[in-house]
Amino acid sequence: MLQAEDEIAASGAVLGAGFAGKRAMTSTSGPGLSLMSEMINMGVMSEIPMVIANVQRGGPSTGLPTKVEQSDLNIALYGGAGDSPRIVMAASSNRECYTGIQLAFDLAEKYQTPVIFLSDLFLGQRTVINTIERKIDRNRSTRVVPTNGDLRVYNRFQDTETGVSPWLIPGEEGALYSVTGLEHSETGNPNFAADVHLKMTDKRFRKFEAMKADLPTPRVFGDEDADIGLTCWGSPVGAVFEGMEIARETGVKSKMITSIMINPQPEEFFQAFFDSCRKIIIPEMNHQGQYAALMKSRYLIRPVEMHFPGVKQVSPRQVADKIIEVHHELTAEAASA
Amino acid sequence: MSLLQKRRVLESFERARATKARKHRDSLPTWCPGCGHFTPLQGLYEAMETLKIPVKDFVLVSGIGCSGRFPFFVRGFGLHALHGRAIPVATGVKLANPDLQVVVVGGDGDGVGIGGGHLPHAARSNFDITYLLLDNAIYGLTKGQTSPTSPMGMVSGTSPYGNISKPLNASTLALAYGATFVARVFSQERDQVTEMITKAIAHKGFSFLHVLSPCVEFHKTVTYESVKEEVCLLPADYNANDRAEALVLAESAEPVYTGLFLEEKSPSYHERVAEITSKF
Repeated sequence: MLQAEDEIAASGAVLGAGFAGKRAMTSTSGPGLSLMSEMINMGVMSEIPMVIANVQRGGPSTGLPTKVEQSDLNIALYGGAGDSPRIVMAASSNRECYTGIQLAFDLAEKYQTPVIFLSDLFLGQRTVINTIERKIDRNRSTRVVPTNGDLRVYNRFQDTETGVSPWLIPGEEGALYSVTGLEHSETGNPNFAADVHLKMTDKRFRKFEAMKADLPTPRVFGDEDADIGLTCWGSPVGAVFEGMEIARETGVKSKMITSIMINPQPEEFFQAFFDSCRKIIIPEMNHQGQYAALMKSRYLIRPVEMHFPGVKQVSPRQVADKIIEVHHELTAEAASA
Repeated sequence: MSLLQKRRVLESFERARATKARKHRDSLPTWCPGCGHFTPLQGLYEAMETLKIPVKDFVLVSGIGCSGRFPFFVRGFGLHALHGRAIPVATGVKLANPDLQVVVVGGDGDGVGIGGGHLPHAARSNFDITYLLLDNAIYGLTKGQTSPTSPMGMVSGTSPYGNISKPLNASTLALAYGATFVARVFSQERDQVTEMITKAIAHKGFSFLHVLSPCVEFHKTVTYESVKEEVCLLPADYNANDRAEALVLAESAEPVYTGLFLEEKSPSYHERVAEITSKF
C-alpha cells in the first residue's frame, strides 16, 4: 500500500502500476473522485486498467462527509472530458463489495480500461458476518497476451474485432511502445487525423460491446407475474426488497431487477423485465434521479421516479407505500377503461 | 549563438531525429531547432549506452509541455502522462516493477508549477526514480507565457507589465525536500549534461537533475548567452555531502552554480518496502 499525498497522485500511481502490468486500485469518497477524473480519463485514452472505489457520501463539494447518498452516479458515468467510456459497477451488499471488486479487476485487466466501483457510506460503515465461499487466486490474470504473430509487427493499440488489443507489458521482450493521453494511432504515437480519431474512439467503445459476454446475470426478485416492477442500485436494494415484502403482505405483488453492472449493463435482461411490467418504480437516494435518467434513456421507459437526497436511507415503508399507491392507480385505470 | 554552438545544437537535432526514426516513423520531433532539450535527449541516449540499460526495462515517463514529447524520441517504453502528474505515475510504475529503470522528464511548469505538490513527496519517500527537470523559465509549448521559474520583470502575454512574482529555484526546492541526489547542469555543456544524467540514473533513490535549457524561440531574456554569463562550476574542492552548504550554493544567483550539489546514500522506498515484506 502506498499512502499518496493526494487523490491525483493516488490515481496516478494506480495508472502507473497498471501500465507496468500490475493490478492496482485506490479508493476515495465524493470530491476525491472529482480529483481523480483526469487520471481516469487518461486510463480510458491510454487503455490502462485501473480500479477506483468510491464510497459515496452526500455532495456536492465537501458535502456531507459522514452521511449517505447515491449522487455520484453521474460523475462515475460521465465525469471526464471527451467521449470517455468507463465501466461503472455498484455493489448492493457487503458480499457484493467482496466479490464485485474481484470482477472489477478481471474486467479492467481484460478490457484495459478503468473501472469505477461504487459503494456508499451505508455499506462502507456496516459490519456484517459473511461466509466467503470463494478462494481468491491472487495470481490470476485476464490479460490478452500478445502471440508471436502479434509481436512480429506489434501495435500497442491494434484495432481488433473486439477492440481489445494484445497487451505487452514493459519489461517483456518483443516490442517497445509509448502510450499517451493524446489521441494516437494504433502504434501509440500521437495522431490527430480525423480518420484516426474516428477509428480509435470506435475501438474504445467497441470494447464495451464485447464485454457484454462477461457480465453477470442480473438478479430478479419477487413475483414473476407482477405488473409492478422495480429497479434500483446500491445499498437501497435491501430496503426495497423489504418494502416489496411489506406490500406483498397487503396483497400487492411486485418484482425487482438489479445488477452490479451499471455500465455496461446486460441490457437484454433489463429490457425483457421492463417489457413484462405495466409500471416501473425507481427508488434512489439522490435529488436528480440519476439512475432513473439513465434507465429512461437506455430502455425508453417512463418509470415512476422516487428520489430524494440522502442522509436518510430509503426506507422499506416508503417503498411499500409507493408500490401500493401505484397498484391503486393501476386498479383505477383498469376500472375506468 | 556562436557557430560552434549552432553546429552542436544542429548535430544533436539530427541525431535525435535519426534515433527517433528507427522507432517511430509517424511522429517527428516537435522541438524547434536549437531547443535546449536536445542536449539532455542526447545525454540520455549516451547514459543508457554507458549504463547498459536494456531498452525493454527502460520506462520514460513525461508530463505535458515541450519536454512531454521525450518518450516518443527514445527507444524504450514511454508513458506520456498528464500535466504535472508524471511523478506519481512514475512512482506507480517503479513500485509495480522495481526492475524497471524509470526516468521522469518534465518542464518547469510541469514540475514546480502544476505538479509542484508531488516533488516533495517523491523526494522524501526516496523513490528510486530519476527526475530530469528541463527548466526554460517559460511556457514554451503554448508560445511563451510566464512560468513559475521566470525571472521577475519578464514581459509576456500573461505578465504584460513585467512578472511581479519571484521565480522558484528548482534545485533549492529539491534539496529542501530531501532529495538524495541533486545536481544542476546547463544544456549547452553537453559533456556535463551526459555525465550528470548518467550519475543521476545510476544513483539509488530519488535523483533530481535541474537542466537549464533555454527556449530559443520564445524567451527573449533567458537565452544561451544570458545563462552562459551567469553559470559557474561548483568549486573544485566542494564535497557534495552537506545539505546545508548545498542549499547555500544552490540558492546563489551570482553566480548560478552548476554541478553536483548533493549525493547521499539512503535506502530507496522499494528497498524499505522489501525490508518490511521480508518479515512475513
